Amino acid sequence: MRHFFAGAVVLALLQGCAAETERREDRGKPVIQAYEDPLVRSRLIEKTESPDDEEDAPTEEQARLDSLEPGDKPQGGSDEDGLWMKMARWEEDLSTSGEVVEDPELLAYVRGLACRLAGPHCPHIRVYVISRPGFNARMAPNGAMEIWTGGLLRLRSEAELAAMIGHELGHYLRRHAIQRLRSTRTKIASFLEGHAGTGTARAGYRDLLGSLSGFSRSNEREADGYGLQVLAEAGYEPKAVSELWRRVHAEFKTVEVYRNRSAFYATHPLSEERAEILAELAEDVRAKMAAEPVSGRDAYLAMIRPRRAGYLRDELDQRQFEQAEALLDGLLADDDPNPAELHYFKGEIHRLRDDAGDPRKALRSYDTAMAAAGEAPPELHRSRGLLLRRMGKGSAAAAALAAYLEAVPDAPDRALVADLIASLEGQ
Amino acid sequence: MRPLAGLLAGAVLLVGCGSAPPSKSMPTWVDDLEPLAGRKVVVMKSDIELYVIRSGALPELNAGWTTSARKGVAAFLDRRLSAKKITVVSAEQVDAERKGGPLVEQLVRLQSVVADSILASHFERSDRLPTKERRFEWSLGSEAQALAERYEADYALFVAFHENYPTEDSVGPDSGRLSRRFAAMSLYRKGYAMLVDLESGRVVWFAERDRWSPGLRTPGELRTTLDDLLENFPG
Repeated sequence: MRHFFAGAVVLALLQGCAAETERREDRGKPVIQAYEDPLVRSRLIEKTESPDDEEDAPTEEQARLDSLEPGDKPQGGSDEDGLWMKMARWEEDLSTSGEVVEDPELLAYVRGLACRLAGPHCPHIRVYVISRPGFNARMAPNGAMEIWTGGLLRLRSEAELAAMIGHELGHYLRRHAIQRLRSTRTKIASFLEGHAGTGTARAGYRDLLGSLSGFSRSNEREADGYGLQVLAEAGYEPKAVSELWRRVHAEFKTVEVYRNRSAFYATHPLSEERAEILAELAEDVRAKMAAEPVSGRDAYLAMIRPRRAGYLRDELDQRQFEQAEALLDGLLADDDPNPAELHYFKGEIHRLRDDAGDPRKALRSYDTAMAAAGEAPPELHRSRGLLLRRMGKGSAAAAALAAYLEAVPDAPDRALVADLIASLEGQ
Repeated sequence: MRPLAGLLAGAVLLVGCGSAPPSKSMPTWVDDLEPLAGRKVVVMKSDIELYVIRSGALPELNAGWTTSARKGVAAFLDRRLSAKKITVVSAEQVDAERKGGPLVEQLVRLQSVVADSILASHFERSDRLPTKERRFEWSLGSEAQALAERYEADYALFVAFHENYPTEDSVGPDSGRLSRRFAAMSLYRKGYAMLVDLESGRVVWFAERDRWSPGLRTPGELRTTLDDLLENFPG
C-alpha cells in the first residue's frame, strides 16, 4: 500500500490533475498570455468536455489557484513547499544520475528555445535532456524540466519542440502538480470516509485507483492550450502541435500496452481526438498571427540528425520492434536526407527479432542501406556479416566482417571479429 | 489443560523475545574498530525526509520539519563528535565551495544501497544471508578513498531518516476504522547512522534507529532519537 501512495505522490509531482480554466479566478496577471485567449480557451473546453470529465472537476480551492508569477515560491511550511522540496531532491538525483546529456551544443539549442518561450520565467526554468528512449517530456513543479532524447527523435521541427516545451511550461505555470496532490488527497479521504464500515472497501478501492490514474486529462488539455499559444506567440507554425500528435498516435497504436490504454493514454487524451481538436484550434490561432509562421524545420533537423543514430540504438534496446519499425517508417516517409542510416536500423530490427522471414528482410534492408543516399553506421558491415554467417554464407560473411574492420580500424571488438573471419575463411 | 496453557504462554514469551529490536543481538561494528579521538570524520549531507500523513493517508513531505531536522542533526553530530575529540569536517560546507565529481556522487548513492542491504540482510531475521552468519562484513570498496581525498578525512559518517507522521485527525477516534488502517499502513520509519573507514572502504560501525525513539520533529525529540542512535558510537 505504501508503495502505491508513494507512486501517487511521484505522479502528482511530475504531472497534473483536473482543473478547468473557466472556473479559476486568476488574481495575478499571467506573464505568458497563453491560454488567456478566450476563443482558444472556450473552444478547447467546449470541444473536449466528456462525461468522464466530471470526475476531473476541480474543487473550489484548486480552481482558485493563481498561475505562477516569475520567481514565485511556495509559502513556507505549506504542502506546496513540501512538494518543491521533494522535487529538489528528485532534481538532484536526476542531475547526478548519469542519464543527463552533456552535449553543450544541443543543450544550448534546447535551453535557448525554452528560455525564449518562458520569457520572464526563464531564470527559474532548468531544462535537462535525458538520454532515454520513448516519447516523453516532464515538468516538475519547481521549474525542472526533463526532455527525453526519444522525444527529440520523434520531433521534426523547432515548432514541434516549442509545442512540447510550451505544454510542459503550462503544467508549471498553472501549478498542476499541487492541484493533483490536493485532488488525490481529497479523493482518498472521501474514499475512506465513504467506505468506513460499509464492507465495500475493496470494490471502492479499485474505483479509486481508476480515478487516480485517469484524472489528469483535463490538465493535459490545459497544457495543450498553453503549448499552442506559446508557440504561436514565438512565431512558430501552430499546426505543428496536431501534426505531432497524429504522428505519435500512428506510432504508439502499434504497441499493445498503449492500445490497451494502460500507461500513456491513461493521462493523455487519445491522440486522434487530441490532434483533431488542436488542428481546428491551430487554424483559429494561425488566422490571428501577424506574420507568416515558421516551422524551424531545417535548424531542428540540422541539430538532431547527427545525433540520431545514438537515439535510435536506445530505441532498439527496448526491443519494442513494432513500435520502432513504425517510427522508422515515419522517418523514411519524411523525405529524409540520410535513408541509409534508417534502412540500417530497419535491418537491425529484423536481425534482432529473428522471427520467421526476418533474416531475409534484414539482409534486404542492409543491402538497401548500402545503396541508399547518406551514410549508414559502419556497424552495418558487422551486422550484415553476422547475419550472413548465421545464414550459412561463410565467404560473404567474412568479406562483410572484413569491411567492418576496414571501416573501423580501432574497433573495440577487433580481435573477436578478426578471429571470426579467420574461422570463416578456414571452413 | 494447565501444561498446555503454560506452553502457550512460553511460546508467546519466545515470540515476544524474537520481535525485540535485533540490533541488541547482532554485532554492528567490526572487531578491530579503533578509537576515533584525534581522527578526522567527515559528516556527509544527511538524507532526511519527514512526511506528514493527513486524513487522505497520503505521505506528503513536510518542508518545515525536514529543514529543521536537517539543521538540528548536523548541529547535534558536530557537538557530539567534537566532544569525543574527533575533528569534524562538514561535507556540505566543502560541497558548497566546489562540486564533487561523478565518483563521489556514485559513492554517496552506493552507501544508501549498502545501508539498505544491512538493514534488510543483517537485522531482519527472515532475510539474513546464510553464508554471512553473524559476521558484520560490509564495504563500499576501496574507491571510498575518493571521499578521503575530497574531504581530507579518515572516516565518513552517513545519517539518514525517512519517516511518516500521521496527523491526529488521520488516526483519532473520529477518523473511522478504515482511515486508521490506511494511516497505519502508510506509516514508515527508517533511520540509520553508518561509519565508513575511507582507507579500506569498510563499514566499521552501524546503528539502526531505535523503533521506540520519538523522531525528529522537535529539538527534544531529535536529541532523544540521536542519543539512542549514537549510544554505541565509538569514541
